[in-house]
Amino acid sequence: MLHPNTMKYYSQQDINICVVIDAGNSVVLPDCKVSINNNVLFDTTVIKSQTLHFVVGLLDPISIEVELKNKKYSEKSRDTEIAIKSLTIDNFELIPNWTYLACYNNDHNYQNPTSVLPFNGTWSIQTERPFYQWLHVVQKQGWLLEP
Amino acid sequence: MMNINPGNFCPSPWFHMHIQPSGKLKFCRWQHQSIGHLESDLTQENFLKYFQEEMSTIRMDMLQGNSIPACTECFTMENHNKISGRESQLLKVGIKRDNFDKTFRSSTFYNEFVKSSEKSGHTDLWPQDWQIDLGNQCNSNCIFCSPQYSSKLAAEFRKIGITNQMPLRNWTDDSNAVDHFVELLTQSKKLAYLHFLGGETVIIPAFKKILTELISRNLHRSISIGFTTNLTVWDQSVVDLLTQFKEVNLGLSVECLHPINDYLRWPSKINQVERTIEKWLNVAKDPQWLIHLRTTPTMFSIKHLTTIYEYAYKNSIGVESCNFLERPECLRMNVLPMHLRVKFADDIQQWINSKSIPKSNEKIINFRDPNLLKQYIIKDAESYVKYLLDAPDETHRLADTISYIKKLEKSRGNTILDYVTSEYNEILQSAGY
Repeated sequence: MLHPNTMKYYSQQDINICVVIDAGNSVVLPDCKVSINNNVLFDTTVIKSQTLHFVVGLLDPISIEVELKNKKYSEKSRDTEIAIKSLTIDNFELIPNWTYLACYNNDHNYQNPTSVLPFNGTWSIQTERPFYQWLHVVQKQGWLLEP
Repeated sequence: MMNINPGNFCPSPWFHMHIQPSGKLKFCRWQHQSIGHLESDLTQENFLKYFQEEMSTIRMDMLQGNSIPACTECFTMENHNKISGRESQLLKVGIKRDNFDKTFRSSTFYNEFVKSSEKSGHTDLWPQDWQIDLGNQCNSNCIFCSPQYSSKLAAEFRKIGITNQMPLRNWTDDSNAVDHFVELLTQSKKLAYLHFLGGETVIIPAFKKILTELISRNLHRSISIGFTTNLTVWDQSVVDLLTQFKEVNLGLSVECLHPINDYLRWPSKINQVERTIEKWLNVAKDPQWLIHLRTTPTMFSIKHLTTIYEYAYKNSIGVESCNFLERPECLRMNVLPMHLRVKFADDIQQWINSKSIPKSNEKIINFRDPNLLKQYIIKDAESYVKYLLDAPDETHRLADTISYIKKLEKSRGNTILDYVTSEYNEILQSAGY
């Protein structure tokens, strides 16, 4: 049995996620949906910069999705976009240095690492394992032994 | 019950084990005091019994936050901002000291810590990370070494009366023990890393035998190996075996690129040592081995330590010293008077300042990351500056230094005065040299 205090201490830890988006240079404002672990945090037109917070369990794999939708590819909407200004998981900032870890599935098949979304589609990033194990790997911290 | 103390917790006893030259088992390669016991019968069963059962007390101490006297070398390193073995081992299971609580709970080994806490420290795991001291067979008499790790020094010490005792027989002289050990490795679950030390690894027959066996059992494709060599010998057949492994960490033992290296690592010759370093660098180019110059700075080599850093920096290889020299006490850097320590610290600091590496307060624990090698070298150099300035004064050992080196010099027919500058002459003579 774990000591009760120890159990409490180690079981009450969370991961804090913060996403900041804005409409960039858009004339026609973009429709955007942001979700984390299937929880929708935002799903409407981006009128002003949005700072979105979410908390997940320490051991929960994390899935973050930012979607630009309903963009009409007209001259007027040419600059419509979503800019992911910041994405922090605890104190780890992914923008701009780690954008290559994200996948951007879009209707123009644009593949380059980016944090600006000018095409309809979903920018997503998944840890697929507890965040700090994932961080160890992406930061190339060497071996991560498994029992 | 777990009552983890982040200041001294180490996960090493859940995945690491160390065999000393005599076959004595230890729970850690950095372990200060030996608390294992000699197995008269090094069978697979006994290896596992030691790891899973006898190391339970160490695991329980870790889980209960107890201070473990055998771990003091790591704490000394941490006090001087040198990367400790404990920090390296923590990182291997995803735990970082600067974010201990969250990374501890997220560790790949967390459930194993819990299980052990419920079973009085027992684990069902097998070692994944070994240090294997093959024996003391060695062709060198390094003055800071010990008979346990050098057969030549053992003979010399006995001849000149430093000791009457000879070290115990090498465990690898027993071919059955080697066979049992290879069998254990073959059956190991999640085996990851084997680090071999001698004596001199390249000349010890068991090194070649174990490498050959690992290859024949196809383990060379899945595990990493490391070894340390003294740069005075070359055996192409061993090199040919090594190049078959998926990853090799090579430690090249050298104190400095100055003739005093010959005095310290007697009877090596610095020109030959440098040529051998180049040969290893050539071998290591294609398979992309990880190479480190391994040093054990003493009061005589610290003056020239920057030659090691400079070589490593230029060639993009690492520098590694497992700890600050403990024994022989009379060769420690802090036996030097403070004015020389300050001078040598200043020399190292000037070398650091000459490099255009962005200064960072962040510790680089994964010193095997090729992208961070230069930053790591700088950090390592900084730890020696701090040690030189902060370590307690031990000038009272100077008389022992003189006594020790004079005994060796009488046997070897050399003199330290041929290798050192006037600043050393003064202190040696003032202490009765």
